[in-house]
Amino acid sequence: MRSERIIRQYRGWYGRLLRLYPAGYYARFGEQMEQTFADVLRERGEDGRSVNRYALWMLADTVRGIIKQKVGALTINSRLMLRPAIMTAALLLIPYFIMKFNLVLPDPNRPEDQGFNWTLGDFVFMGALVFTAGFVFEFIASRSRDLLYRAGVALATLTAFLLVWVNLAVGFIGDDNPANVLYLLMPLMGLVGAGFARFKPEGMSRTLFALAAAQMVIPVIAVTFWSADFAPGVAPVFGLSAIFALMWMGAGLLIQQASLKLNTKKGM
Amino acid sequence: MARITPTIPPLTPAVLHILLALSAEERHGYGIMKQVQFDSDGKVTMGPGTLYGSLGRMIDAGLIRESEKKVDPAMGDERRIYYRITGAGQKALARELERYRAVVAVARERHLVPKLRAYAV
Repeated sequence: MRSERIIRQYRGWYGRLLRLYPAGYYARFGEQMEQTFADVLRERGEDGRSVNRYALWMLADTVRGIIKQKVGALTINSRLMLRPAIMTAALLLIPYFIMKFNLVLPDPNRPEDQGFNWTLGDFVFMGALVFTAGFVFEFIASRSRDLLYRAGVALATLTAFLLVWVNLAVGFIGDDNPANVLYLLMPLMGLVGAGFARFKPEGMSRTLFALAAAQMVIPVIAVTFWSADFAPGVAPVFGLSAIFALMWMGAGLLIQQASLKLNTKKGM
Repeated sequence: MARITPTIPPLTPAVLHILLALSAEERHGYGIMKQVQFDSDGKVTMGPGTLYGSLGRMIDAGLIRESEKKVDPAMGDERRIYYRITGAGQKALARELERYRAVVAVARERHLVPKLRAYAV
């Protein structure tokens, strides 16, 4: 019978689709799902109703189920990487489209200005920087559901990202001032401090306050020992350092509030 | 200090209807699909993807369990795995129906319910 042949064909396709489920799930339910699929179509065929629409609906329903199971089967580490990866790809589309559609043109009054022109290396560098920042945020923020804690971690991550980006792009102090290496080490010091604190709010806030202090100590060291190469000037360098110090401190205060809230709850 | 009673979230419509379908007898997957469609007057339909996704979660939650694999005479000679409701599943179903009963009772008090069907409480 024609409908029996069509049902066998659909069942074959459905059986192949089911293999896209995670292996454990397929072993558990694959055979039954295929049976149920065929049962539904057989009933439709016996009633003289079209099997095609129902087959397609069940195929779509199963595709949705596969996506749900696949996402659920991801390990925690995979989930930690998925969001930063998606965010990185989305952010890199911005410079890509700026370049593709010439949204930023070179300044005709400045011959040295080449407009917005990223090389492959620029995309790779920025991609690595954004992904690392996103991953670090996901890794640390996942330790607490507290909004203040997560906001503090977000601000600290943003501060670290901007510090590294500005430093590598134009240099904080001068062109080859050794103090710039000290600035680059700060996010690493922050991670080490957070790790020693086991990412607990109390220890993390102390680490961030220490970073705020270090942010202001570095220009003092630079002006004392490496004052020869001090562009763009003492006041701008100290001013920019103060902005970053305030950001570190802001992150520390947010996480400190989270710590106080936690201590208050424990004291109940 | 006031004692906080943890609230158990409501069952999803799919889980509720699967428990209803299994409340009277054990069934295989296709039997559950048909019973759910009948119980809900066709309002709740689920494909195999949704059905077995729910069955998997319900087994993991202890609400149902797999029974034996046997032949359904009405469905040919293929052996099928049957499912049956557990004690925990029966309690969850009873709790959910009580929740519905309480809501309908409030609606009746406020004259919000136009007509009640055969399962009027």
